[in-house]
Amino acid sequence: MSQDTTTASKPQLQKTNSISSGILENGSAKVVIEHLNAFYGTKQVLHDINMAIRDKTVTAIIGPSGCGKSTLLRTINRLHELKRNARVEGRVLLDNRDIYAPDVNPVVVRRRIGMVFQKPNPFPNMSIYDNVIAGLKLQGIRDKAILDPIVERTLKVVGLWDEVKDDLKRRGTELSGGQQQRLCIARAIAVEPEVVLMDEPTASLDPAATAIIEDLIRDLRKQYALIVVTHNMQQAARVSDHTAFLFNGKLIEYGPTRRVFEKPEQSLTEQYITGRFG
Amino acid sequence: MANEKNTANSLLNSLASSDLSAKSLADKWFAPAMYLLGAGIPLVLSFLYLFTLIKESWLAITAFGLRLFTQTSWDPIQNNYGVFTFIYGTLVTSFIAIIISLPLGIMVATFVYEYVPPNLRVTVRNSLDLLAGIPSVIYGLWGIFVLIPFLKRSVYPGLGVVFPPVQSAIGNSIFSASIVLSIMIMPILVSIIVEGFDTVPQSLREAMYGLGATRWEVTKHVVVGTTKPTIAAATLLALGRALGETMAVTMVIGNSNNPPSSFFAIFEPGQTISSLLANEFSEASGALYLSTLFELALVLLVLTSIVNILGILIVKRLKQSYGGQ
Repeated sequence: MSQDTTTASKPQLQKTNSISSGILENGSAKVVIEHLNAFYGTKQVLHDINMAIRDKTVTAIIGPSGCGKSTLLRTINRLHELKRNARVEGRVLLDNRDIYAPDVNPVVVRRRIGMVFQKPNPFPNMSIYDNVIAGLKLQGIRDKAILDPIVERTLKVVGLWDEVKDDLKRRGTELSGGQQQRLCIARAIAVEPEVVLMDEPTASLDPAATAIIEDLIRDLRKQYALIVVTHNMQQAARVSDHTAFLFNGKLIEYGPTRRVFEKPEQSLTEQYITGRFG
Repeated sequence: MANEKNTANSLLNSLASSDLSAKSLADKWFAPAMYLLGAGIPLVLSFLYLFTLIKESWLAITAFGLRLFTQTSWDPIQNNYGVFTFIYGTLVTSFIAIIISLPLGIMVATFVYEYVPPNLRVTVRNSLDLLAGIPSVIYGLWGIFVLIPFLKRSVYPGLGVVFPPVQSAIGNSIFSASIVLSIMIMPILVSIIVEGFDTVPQSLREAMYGLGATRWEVTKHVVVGTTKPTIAAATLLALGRALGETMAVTMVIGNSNNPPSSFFAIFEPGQTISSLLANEFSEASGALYLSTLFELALVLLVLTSIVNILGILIVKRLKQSYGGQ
């Protein structure tokens, strides 16, 4: 997709406060989160989050349950605000353009930022084929000559093509859990987003299916900026380039994964990754 | 020590042998009696209905056979009966009512579920329930005093230009009955559809939003899209109601036993099975006349039962298949 919306504001390359150190040394930010606060009614769930996320990397967000990981993820494609009484303050820049600016249409934001959810959620009223092209159909693309190759290519990317190519007309919900989740990833990337958000994508899968998804995440990194929420620290260590540790709605530590796991700067991070709480 | 142990054992033994399995008389009989009443009364009653109807209509069944349903003359004086007109009236009124009510019902349900703010939603749903509870005679009165004058004043003159026979329409007609019916079945349609919307998982809506769908697209593709089987079930249950509705239809349909002049004679007075029964049972004289009416009642019972059972079965199957989500 074009980047014609990016010219508005001056380059905001974060003098990423100390917390984001080591992230942008050899590249530019795809997503920058600035002074982000998120609320449900009067309850504040995120406190002044500042993060710069690089393109073509995997960024893991870890932290104990209820620390705001999912909320943080959902502020990046403006899904958070769909919940009742949910509210966001601060800025999220996608290619230097604030997606919370008053003139920005959240629908367009969500086309550029795909999302994969915790539980596989293919549309039960649609075939495998129709699930993959659901987002394209929303953009008015109905020509089979365009759609067919996209379906094939996308299903190949997620490694599902050989398994389902003969019954694309079957319902997406008839697949196994792991296949369903790969179908959902295919659905998210078929619209060629720039950023892919994943909210605990393997939480409901068995170890074998989890391994496949993790391989896929490492593959997808060549093309997209991936942000993956996980409660599984081993997973974060296995798949991510950068890791952010969230606790009680605050960003405690953020840096290259290896550094965060081997030499955490904050004692809270160390306690969490060594399993002393959470 | 050993002695004490023995005493304890014998105590336990006596407990085991005597009272563990004991039940009071009430326990013994209460549950079976409730089973018998709960399962028995409905079963016996429906069997009795069916038995009575078949027994009473036997005379007509043997006298006319299937000829009854193809013949159009309804002639108590000659003791010659054909019920095509009433089957036509019943099916056509119900069918038109569904055609009018279904799209409106889906729209109202969508509005109630997706767009009405939660504090107002209760009010809207309550008023729908209220609508369902209005006695049908009141719908009939509304039809006579509001709908029919309105149709004659504002609709028929215009419609008559393209469709001349309408100009002379007297207002009491199959069409008027259909409109009254369409309003009467709206509450049941909407409440079942809204219940179906309730079962659509939030995660599916979010998946569609996440792909860059507008609110309308989420409603269309996800909410209505995944609820289609429920909508089918709601339609069948509403149809069951429309087929059997008597009072309001009798008041506005015109009660004419003349066969429809053409297949699309919906602006003429007509008659449904139920309106005919309401009109003629009290004055039916002669065994065959009465028996024919009984056979019509049987037809109506079977028709509505089939439609209702189908509807209930679909709802049941849906609950099972969505149960896991």
